[in-house]
Amino acid sequence: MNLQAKQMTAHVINNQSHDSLAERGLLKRIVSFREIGIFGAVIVLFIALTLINQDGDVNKFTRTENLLTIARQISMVTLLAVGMTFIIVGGDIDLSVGSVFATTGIVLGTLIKQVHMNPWLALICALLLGLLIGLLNGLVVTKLGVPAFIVTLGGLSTYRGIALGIAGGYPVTSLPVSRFYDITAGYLVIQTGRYLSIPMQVIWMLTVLAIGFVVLSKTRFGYHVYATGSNRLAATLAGIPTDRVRLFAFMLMGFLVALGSGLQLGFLKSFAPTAGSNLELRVIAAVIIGGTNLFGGSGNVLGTFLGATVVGMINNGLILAGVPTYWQFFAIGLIIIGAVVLDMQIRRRQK
Amino acid sequence: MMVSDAGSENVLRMKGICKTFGHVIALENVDFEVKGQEIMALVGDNGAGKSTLIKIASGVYQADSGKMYMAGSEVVVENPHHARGNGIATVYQDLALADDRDVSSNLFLGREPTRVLGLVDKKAMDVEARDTMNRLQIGLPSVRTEVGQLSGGQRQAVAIGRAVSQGGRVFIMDEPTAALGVRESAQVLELIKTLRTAGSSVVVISHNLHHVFSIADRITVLRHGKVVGLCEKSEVTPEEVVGLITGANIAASIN
Repeated sequence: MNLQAKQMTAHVINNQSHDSLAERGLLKRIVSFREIGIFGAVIVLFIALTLINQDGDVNKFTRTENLLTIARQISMVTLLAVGMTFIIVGGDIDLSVGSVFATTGIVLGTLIKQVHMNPWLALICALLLGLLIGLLNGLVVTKLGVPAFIVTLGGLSTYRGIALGIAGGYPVTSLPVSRFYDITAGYLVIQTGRYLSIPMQVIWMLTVLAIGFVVLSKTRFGYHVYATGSNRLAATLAGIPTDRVRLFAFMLMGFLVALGSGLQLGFLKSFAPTAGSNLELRVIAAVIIGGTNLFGGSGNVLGTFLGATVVGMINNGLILAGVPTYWQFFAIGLIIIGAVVLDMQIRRRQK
Repeated sequence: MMVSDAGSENVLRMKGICKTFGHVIALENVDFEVKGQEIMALVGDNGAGKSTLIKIASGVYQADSGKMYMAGSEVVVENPHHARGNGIATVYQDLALADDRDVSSNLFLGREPTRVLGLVDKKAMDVEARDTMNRLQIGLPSVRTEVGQLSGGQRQAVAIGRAVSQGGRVFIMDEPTAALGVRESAQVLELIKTLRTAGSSVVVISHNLHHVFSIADRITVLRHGKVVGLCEKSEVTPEEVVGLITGANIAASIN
């Protein structure tokens, strides 16, 4: 009896010391080796691009205007990639992102210009449209059982057609003056000694990032997303409403896509029905590079942000180097494949 | 007076269960009972209907006809949630674990405890997970280990740990030792006996008659969807049970 009690105590102590190792430090709990690795890649990339682009007195890469451009780019991709993280972690995928982006943006622009709606009201309508499209995608996937890949591949085409149709092929331009543009895509000016101008897209991104991080990593819903993506049958048997979980993920994606299109419209003060072409590639690339498993069950929002940073910097670097657009497609495709291969190698070694 | 069920010392009683899939008769008028604090083995060849029967008990399937009683009162089990609520904890053959998730997340799959603002209480989860695994005397590196990285026996232990931490009057285990080596099987069988000692009943499906005979109190034999035998372990030999399973020796049907 005593021996058994001692063995049990020894067990408890053993486990505790192991666990405290894993729990030590807030940083270690939020960040894993994976994210540190990608962060390292970001730093290396930044240094490399800075060195390459020194042009006499001016550095093409680190000059303010370029950094602002990158910041805005990364913000847009991250905003959407947060939604895509929920979708991929949950075991699905959404290829229609770029086309839905065009549809919600065109609707937003048309409501403001043709219907003379208040831009904020119009944005709410666009957000509702995004939710609706997400709902539609999600219902076909969960209730009709059509693989997400197929459904959203169809959506890629369908929604592009809808956007072009509503716009009549022309971009929506000459939108009336409004504070809308400042709040969606202007600058947040902070006075701390000297002026610090932060693009509003960054603020929007940080907000979405923070909320996304808390929801995915810390709430019951987030836990259910991971479970659904890791083993949908096991999740169902455990009583998790996996259909509803996936449905919400698609609706969240739709909402963020609409929000993103609103920010773009705010920035350009116009919107073309061709907007968002190949956006889904960049968004998915960000998620994968960020360490999310393409097959679901693992990954996180912070990694996605780092992935978006890598994608944004490479894109920018190629542009600064004067590389034609088609090579950028080539590069992005190669990076996605490379990231997945690397990811699979790492996982294989872990087992 | 409880008209519905005479044998109220039965923790679980299934009566007249029928289930058909298309034109395949999986179960035909099956009666199945489990007494309090007993280990009931459910044996039969492939396709005999064992999995179907326990899936009905755990709410994955609904019987076409028949009734279920727990401690004398009739219950309706429409889904796994109901089953859990009625005190039926099931450990499936493929363990139904999420490999990418850690031990404590798996232990609380679908019933994660929350604290303020609906945030998951991971600390409490980890503490209770550690406690459960310690009580089962299972050695684990940490409850934060990804389940996919554990050995077969450890994974089985996590699956059983989940059933145990949910609490239950009846534990159902589908082939608990099928994928395990000798030592790990012995550990799991000890664990099942511990559950009985602690006051629960356990239904064990197994192909391994050695294991069945080492822990079962009674044995129910299914063949082609029908019950062909219900015996006290002490009153029957493994050979006779094999005879019932395969139907080679019909005269050996003992009641």
